[in-house]
Amino acid sequence: MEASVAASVPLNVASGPDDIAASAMFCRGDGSRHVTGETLLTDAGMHLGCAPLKAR
Amino acid sequence: MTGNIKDLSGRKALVTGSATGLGRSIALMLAERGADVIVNCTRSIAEAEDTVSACQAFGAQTQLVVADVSTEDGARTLAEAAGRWGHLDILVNNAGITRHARDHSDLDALNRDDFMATYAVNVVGPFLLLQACKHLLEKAFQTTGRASTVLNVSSIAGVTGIGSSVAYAATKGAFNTMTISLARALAPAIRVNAICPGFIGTRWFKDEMGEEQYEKMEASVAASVPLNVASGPDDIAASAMFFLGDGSRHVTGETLLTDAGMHLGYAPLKAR
Repeated sequence: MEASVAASVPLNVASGPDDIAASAMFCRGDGSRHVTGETLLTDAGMHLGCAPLKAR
Repeated sequence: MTGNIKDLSGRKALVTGSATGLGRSIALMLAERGADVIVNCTRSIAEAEDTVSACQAFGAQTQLVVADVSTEDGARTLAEAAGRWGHLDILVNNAGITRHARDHSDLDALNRDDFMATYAVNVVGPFLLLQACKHLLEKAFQTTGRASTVLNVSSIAGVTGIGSSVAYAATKGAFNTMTISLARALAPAIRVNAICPGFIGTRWFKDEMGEEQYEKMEASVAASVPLNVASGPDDIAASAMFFLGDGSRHVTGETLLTDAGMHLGYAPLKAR
């Protein structure tokens, strides 16, 4: 399944907890001090709907 | 400025429109975190030289490139500068213009030239630059195994249609769409994201309206956005840095609203 996810998302990676935690750190740190009400997609590009042609 | 961690040490970055304002803030934060930076402007050479000096004070290697990103020559000149470093890890498409026409119902306030000039800098320029730098961004990925990162400085105007002119809002809507298209097309070697600031206190407004009216506007913005703050360049640059570092390594195709909550549409009751 992990391999299949990696093959199907644009960034060609299967995210682990640390990869997502790294993004979560942005939301809880000062870097996002002027950000609120946002929903950040941390999905290795899955929402883009298809992997690039060369990865299929 | 935040932190003293040189986590971007040795990375090569290009920030368009980095003489002043948000572009300058991003360039300085990149330099502070160890990146080498190409500073770019079209006209503000003295200010750009100041940005260069400030980056060098952090120990960064720098290049100053005077070039108009909306022309093929300008894009090529910038790519050649990046080429001298062999690859490019970070590209920030920050340069942008507007033609102020705040009454959107006055269609005669904009002519064809205004519209085309705005589109040329805000949309076509970033495309031309990416076209010219793609091989250098891919080289960074091939060398390091880490996707290179492109950040487009868009605007909340591209989401809400509210902004300095109809043309400006339309170009930023197009820029957001281009961000999504290119994120899909250029993965996995290159991540492409955008930030959509609301108000940023820079000379963009100060030049247009003068100091006194500017201060009134700043107070009015702070009163009307949910976080009750008027953002400055450093506030927005701090969010931009997320997309330029490893924290966002699994994020692409995102258009993050960095607008102190402006898109939420109303200020909390206590501020009214």
